[in-house]
Amino acid sequence: MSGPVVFKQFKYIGLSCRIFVVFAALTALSACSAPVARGEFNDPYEASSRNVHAFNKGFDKAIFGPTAKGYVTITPPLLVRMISNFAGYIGLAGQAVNNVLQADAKGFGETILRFTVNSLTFGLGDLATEAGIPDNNADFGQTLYVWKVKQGIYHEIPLLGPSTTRDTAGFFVDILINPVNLLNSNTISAAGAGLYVLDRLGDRSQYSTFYEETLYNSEDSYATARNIYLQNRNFFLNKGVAEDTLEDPFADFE
Amino acid sequence: MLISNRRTILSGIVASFALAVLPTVGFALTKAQAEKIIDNLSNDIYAVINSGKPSAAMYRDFDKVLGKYAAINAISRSVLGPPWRSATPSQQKAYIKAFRGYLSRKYGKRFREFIGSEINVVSARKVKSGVLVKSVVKFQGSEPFVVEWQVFERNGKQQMFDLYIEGISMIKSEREEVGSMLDKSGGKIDKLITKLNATG
Repeated sequence: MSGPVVFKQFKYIGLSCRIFVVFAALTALSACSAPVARGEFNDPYEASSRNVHAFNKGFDKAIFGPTAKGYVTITPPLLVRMISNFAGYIGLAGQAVNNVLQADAKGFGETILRFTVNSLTFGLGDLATEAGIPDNNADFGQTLYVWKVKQGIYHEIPLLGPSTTRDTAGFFVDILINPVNLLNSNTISAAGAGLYVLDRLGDRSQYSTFYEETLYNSEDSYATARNIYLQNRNFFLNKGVAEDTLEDPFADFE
Repeated sequence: MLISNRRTILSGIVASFALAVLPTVGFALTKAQAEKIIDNLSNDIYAVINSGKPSAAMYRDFDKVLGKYAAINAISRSVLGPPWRSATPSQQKAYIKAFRGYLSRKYGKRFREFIGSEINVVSARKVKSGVLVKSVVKFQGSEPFVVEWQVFERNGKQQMFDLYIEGISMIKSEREEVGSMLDKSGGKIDKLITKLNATG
């Protein structure tokens, strides 16, 4: 429901399930005291993270990928789009909360405007995007960034995919502060989770070429996913490519 | 309306004068120049993807576009990193040739995904090494995304260096990819070259 646009499916591959919530929270906590890794990435548990990656890849190959294909085959494209729009619409509530926590007045205005405009179609259409109202996709991982919390450790979460300590914490806080879940109705929460899964399936299919290039056609899919996730996430947080991460065209290797 | 049209024409004339004059004066790359380069580059890319040619012909056209705008040598060297130094001159030459072909096929394929979209240059900012030009790609019915282009000037030549799709750097990604290929080739450049020629 939130995340940077094109590659947002890399944020969380798959479902949100309470067992994994607990598991990932433990992973994130135990990761806090870890040493800093060498090189560009803070990935001290790479070996175990690679095992999770292998599991996620297997899951994508056997279940998630084929299900996504099946989903868009049996569902009319218009309906797929409506479901995706509606998932984004429902997510606006949590997004507005994060805009406020970040003291981002402009972002808050955009979110409210999107909500108002898209309410005209009960959230099923996306007139807001067509009208050029940007989707700022604010999330709690970003809120933590704004609050100067460090990125922490890179890892993969079973079923959900690449993340960092900060983003994993953010993901679970987003579930907690989502007004939809505050309604305290199991039916609504289950419907919300179902909607989330369908939205992910839609993304998996919409960006399937990119997805498959990364997972199945790269030399080292773990390293590629890590590279893509971190760069894309930093781009989102920084609202553009950070100048100090630019490559140097004058570097000489001769 | 008329006034704004006149203004556009006027500023266009002024801009083209500036473009003609600046390089000879020897000023560093300006934002306007970099924007113009990326405007032309993206027009050329879209002309290729909208040509409807079969993929092999399309990749050849991409190769030409690459040669026209991109700093192929600097990009190839940066992607390979330190192993560049231990390669012989003939290996370096063969590597650049192989990498260029690999890049046109790979990014040719990637840009084909842009069919049906529209790209617009929206802004540019000065960075230490040159200018970073921001463009937005819009697809019907989905959220737009950002492609940024790093342009620099060396010996009076203005070229594209890196490109960032939603923040993901082409050079960083290829360094990872080519690095893995080199590892799998046991660190042998010749094997890497064979691999590059067979990939994409």
